[in-house]
Amino acid sequence: MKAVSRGVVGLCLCLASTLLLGQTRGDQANVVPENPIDSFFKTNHITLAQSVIDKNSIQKPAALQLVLPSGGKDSYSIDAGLTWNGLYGQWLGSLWEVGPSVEYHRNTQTKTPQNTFQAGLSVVDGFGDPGTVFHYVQGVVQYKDDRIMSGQGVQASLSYTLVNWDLAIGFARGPDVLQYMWQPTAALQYEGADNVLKTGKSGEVGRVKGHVEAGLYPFGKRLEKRIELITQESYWYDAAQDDAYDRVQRGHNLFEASGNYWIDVTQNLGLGIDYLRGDNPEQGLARQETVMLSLKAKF
Amino acid sequence: MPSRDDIKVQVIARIASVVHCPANQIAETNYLWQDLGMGPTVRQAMGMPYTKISQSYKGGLVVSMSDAGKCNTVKDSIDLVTQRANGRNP
Repeated sequence: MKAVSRGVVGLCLCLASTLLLGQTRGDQANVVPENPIDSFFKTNHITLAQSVIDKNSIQKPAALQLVLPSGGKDSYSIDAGLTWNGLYGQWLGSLWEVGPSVEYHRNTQTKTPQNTFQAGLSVVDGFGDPGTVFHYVQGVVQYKDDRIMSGQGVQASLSYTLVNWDLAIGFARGPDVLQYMWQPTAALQYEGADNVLKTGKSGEVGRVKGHVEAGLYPFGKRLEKRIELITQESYWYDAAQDDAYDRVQRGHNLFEASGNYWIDVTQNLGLGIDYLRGDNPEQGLARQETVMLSLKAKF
Repeated sequence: MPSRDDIKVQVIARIASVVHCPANQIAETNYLWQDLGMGPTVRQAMGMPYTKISQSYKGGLVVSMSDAGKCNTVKDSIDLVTQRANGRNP
């Protein structure tokens, strides 16, 4: 275990030293070095994050994780989503973009394994004024292959979030000693699957989702927000269950708390520790409680 | 064809109005998140004012929310809007 931990830290430092060398702040105007991986993602309109479904909230990084469960074997997991947003335009005073997306969530822990692949289409519409209130509506339709919880099927989601200066939604506000930011999201979801809870039976479910996340940034300006403490609470309620989903508990909740340290100033690579309690029906995560040490990446 | 300096003044003015800060306190080297507190959703939302600047010029193109969201610094934002206002892709 210690060897693996050292390996994760070593890999992280190696990547940081090779890719991000010289990415310190320059006092001279127009000198802001970029790393080549970040440039690749920018130029090709690709986004890498933990999930594409919640890409409009505080962006959770993709993570390669060492899992240290309470009462189980140590294992690795991966949480990553990729989106391409090369199609975009303007419509009735709003901005829209459409693109394919894929995501993969794998946890090899034997007690509560997770093995979910999702691929589909994401549509985002944004309207308003970021100086006052800006609104996001996002639709996602995905093919879902959950080899642990529900088999193959379709998942669709329609979510809403916003940006507002007065309420500190989307903005880091407060004194330098402790800046803060938060972001609420509401969503409606539909899922149809062919092997719910390994019963061999199909079913459909309609869910209502609420999600709130808050970030704290101690000495935010002085430390360039390299240290962040984030808590998140998600709640799903199965408002409509059909066939095999009748047997499934209606309420699902997931609490997450993370502490991250970003190695580079543009926050592409970092190390973090995460605490997670609950279940996530979107990603096929069974109820569990875990502590994770992670190498994190977002582009 | 707008020059970079034409665009720079407008982009900084728009960023200043969004973060409620005087424009003369914003420099090109400022990081949008670390220095100005603009989180990911706010940076993406800047696609809207950037598009208004870009399309105020003949042949100016839309600035997508994803492209705006990937800007790390004020300089990145000025470069992006300059390109789009001149009808070029990033």
